[in-house]
Amino acid sequence: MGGSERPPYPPGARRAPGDPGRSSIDAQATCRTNPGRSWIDGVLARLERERVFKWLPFVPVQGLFALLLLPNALLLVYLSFLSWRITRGAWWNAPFTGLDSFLGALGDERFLWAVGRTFGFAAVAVPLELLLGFGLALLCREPFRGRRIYTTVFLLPMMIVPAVVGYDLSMLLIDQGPFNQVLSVLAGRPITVRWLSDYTAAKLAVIGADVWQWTALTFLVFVSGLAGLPRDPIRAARVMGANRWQIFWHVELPLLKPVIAIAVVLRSMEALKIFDYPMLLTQGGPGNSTETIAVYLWRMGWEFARVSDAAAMSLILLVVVSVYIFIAIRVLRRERRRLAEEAAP
Amino acid sequence: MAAVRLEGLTKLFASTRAVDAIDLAVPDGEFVVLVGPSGCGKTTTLNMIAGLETPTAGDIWIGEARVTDWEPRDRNLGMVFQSLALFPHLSVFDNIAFPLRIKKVPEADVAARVQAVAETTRIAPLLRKRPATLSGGEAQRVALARTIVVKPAVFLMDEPLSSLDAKLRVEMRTELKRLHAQLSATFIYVTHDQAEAMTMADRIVVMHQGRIHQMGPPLQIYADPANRFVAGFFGVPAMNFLDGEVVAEGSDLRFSAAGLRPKLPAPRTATRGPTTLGVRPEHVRLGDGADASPATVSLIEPLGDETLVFLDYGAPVSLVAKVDAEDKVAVGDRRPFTLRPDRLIFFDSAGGRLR
Amino acid sequence: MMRRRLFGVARHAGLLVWMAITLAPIYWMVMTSFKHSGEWVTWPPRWVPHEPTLINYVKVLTPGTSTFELGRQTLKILKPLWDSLFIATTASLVAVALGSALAYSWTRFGTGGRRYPYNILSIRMVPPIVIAVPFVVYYVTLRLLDTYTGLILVYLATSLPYVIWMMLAFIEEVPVELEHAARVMGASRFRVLGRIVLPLTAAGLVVTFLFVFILNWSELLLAMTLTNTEVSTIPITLNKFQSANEGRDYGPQAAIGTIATLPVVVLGFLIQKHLVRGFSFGLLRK
Repeated sequence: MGGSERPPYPPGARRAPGDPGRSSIDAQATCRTNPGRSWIDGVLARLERERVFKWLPFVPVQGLFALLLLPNALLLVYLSFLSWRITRGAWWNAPFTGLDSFLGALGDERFLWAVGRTFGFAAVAVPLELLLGFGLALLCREPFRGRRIYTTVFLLPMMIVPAVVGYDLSMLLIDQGPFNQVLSVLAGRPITVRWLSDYTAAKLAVIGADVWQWTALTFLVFVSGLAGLPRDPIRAARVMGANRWQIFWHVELPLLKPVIAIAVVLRSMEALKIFDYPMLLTQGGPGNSTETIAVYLWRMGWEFARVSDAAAMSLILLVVVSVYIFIAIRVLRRERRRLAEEAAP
Repeated sequence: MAAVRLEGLTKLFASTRAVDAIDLAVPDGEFVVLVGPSGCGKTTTLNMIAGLETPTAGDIWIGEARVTDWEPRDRNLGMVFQSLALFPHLSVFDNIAFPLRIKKVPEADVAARVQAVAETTRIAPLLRKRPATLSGGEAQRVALARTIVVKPAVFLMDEPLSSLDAKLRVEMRTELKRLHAQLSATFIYVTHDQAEAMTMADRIVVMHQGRIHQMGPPLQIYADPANRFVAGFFGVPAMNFLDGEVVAEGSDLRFSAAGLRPKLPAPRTATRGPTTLGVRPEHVRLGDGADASPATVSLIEPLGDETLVFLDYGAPVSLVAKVDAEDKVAVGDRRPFTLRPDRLIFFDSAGGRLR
Repeated sequence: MMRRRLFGVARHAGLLVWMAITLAPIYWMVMTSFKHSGEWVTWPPRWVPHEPTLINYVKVLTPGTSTFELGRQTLKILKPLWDSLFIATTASLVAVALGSALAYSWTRFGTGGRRYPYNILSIRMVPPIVIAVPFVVYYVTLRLLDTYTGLILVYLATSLPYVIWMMLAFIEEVPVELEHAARVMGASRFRVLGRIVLPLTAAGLVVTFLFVFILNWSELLLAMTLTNTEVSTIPITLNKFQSANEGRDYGPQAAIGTIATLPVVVLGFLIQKHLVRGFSFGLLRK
């Protein structure tokens, strides 16, 4: 600034005794002991204490979880030790049958098949989605004409209500439907696959619905991941003489690990919940060939009213899924920690 | 009226003592600088004064009031942050008006006071801009203006100049000192930059590992450091430390290290055996004398007005001398040197000062 | 040069194939919604309606309740549309309010411990079907089955984890020094939230709201489980009339599908850039 000839601050800025612009500490002190504010201010001041304030949002959230989850978890365990159907009076009067429901569940082939089938669907659908999404994201990596249109269109499926997707495909896949028509044109001969009533084809239809809708998500995750790659390590590798393939394999892929973790965890987590597609496409049929865990359990509870059996199966499922969740959370924590370490130089 | 007093102030993070039972009294109107390396507890101390951190133990007094558990807003402080903390979603005007509006100052007065403070800090043309579009120096002034506008009794500053480039930083030092003179408010300023501390402070408080190592006016801290840490922290280049022994030679006491045997002036009583000698580069003189030691010049660093000369005298670490730039020295020259006997200070092996 | 050219052509070919796969089902549904009943199922299938009509929309959007008897069905969706909108909006709003407050408290004070968000997330990872069975029993006991409150509470619980994780990322971007500055200048903690944190995370709040709105709007399993006749959402309505294979009303159902999709697609594109944050668990480089 300089310019020392003229005073840079007006006299008003000087401290003067009794300056009205300055509320003295003493005034503040009296203000505290004798508030003279309304009681609302008093309450607010109390809530503002850090040890109170920081718990404010926790009360309703924990309350909600305690209200919804805790009784249900207990109820789930309790019901599974009974033999109760919705049609048979009140649940608290139902007979206690110990582990019968569990033994029944483990001996229920339809249940075991449903579990196996669900994991099977996931095992096919998830890798497909990952590969397709990654491939498409790679193709859309560098700017080119039309890139925006492609990326916009590719994201569309994940914004559609899954039930609508199921319904939509059920229209397309009817025996004399447009899908068979397109296949016929491509093959040059009439093709009439019975997509919704053939044991194998129906499975493909359910997997197809999942892939169609959720490749959009893996695509989005990978596009964001590729866009977020730091440039300097890649440039450094180029200067050091690495070729494209080496850069991809030794630099980019390791850097993409957190993003790949997101995609894998997210998709496999969701794939175990498949419900909407079989319900709307095939209602689990033909036979039970597309019946997933969620569909079967839903039927157990609602169509067959075998609540205790359904509860036992839910518990078994919970145990199986817990292992998976434990691993998934560990992976997420580890990747987040690594990212944080990278961020801190 | 707005003196600040800390009594046994302590802050524990987990089990580390970030601030360890500090006692400090800052009289009204003083410009005190808390200085120390990063992690020494100076910022934590400042945050506790501001009320942004709660002390684990001890008390804070501002004026006549014990404010230890007051909310920050009740303490009547002004604070400038390292990142300046301008609100990015508000214009410069609204940034400066923020504290006034919080205090429910009538809108007409707000405009007048913002305008006035903007004139004095020379940011009047910037009032409609957003903080993101300001240069470093401009943002700095806005942050100051925003603090001055409510005329707080105590100013807290947490490394406010660290985001500026070197030249601007030097200018702003002068600016801040002038501001302090104008406002005659109490300033508590935190920095890790010893030059900032030296140039601005009425009194320097040197902190290290959560403790106060020394308090005093800048020149006293520089000339008469309380221990080896303080001695090494102030001065560029740093003080030379020579490990050796004090030995008796006839009636004289001499310091003996490698090829070096300077005679010690005053009769020293308690010091015998292993000792560290400290001498500032400007107190090392090239040239022959009664007590000169031989050395070879191993490196020179011209500063313009002066030149740093690194002398090899047989010890693993070179001795640095600050000599006039007129004095032509070249690498490889054999130049004897002497140490100014009245400016030698001694430390024991734990770093404590020996007197 | 030649190779680059070739790669460009191959790239467009690959992308065009996926674009066709993506668009065809959507196109078919929208077209069907404009078809007269005679064109719903034909061989060869009709890709463009002969005489586009709005009759399907008129049918489903007239007041009344859906019925299904003697193989004939009438689909009315004004009520489900309203239910869906009300439930999804209320649940999402409350979830955003609570969740972002909690995310704030966690980022700034570490309330609940370092693992808290992970614990919340792991609860969310449990398939909802696990809890569905006892839920009905519980809700019957509390008389919450088939009520707005019941469904809103459930959606609130299922959206909270997403809100917390999304808002963590947005709140972490607000430098804590801004809040300190405001507090030293005399603002209370509530003022700081209102004047500093809220404006600086406004975009994040909107994005988060839209994100969980889409989730709640689309949910089928829990809605089916916890409602009966009083409350009905759009996905339930679609499903209800899907189970009967005889006499399916392709046209009206397509109209419902289009109506259900349209708002979500519009919202989705509004938040396209931020969409990925919702499921990134804070694992995305900026």
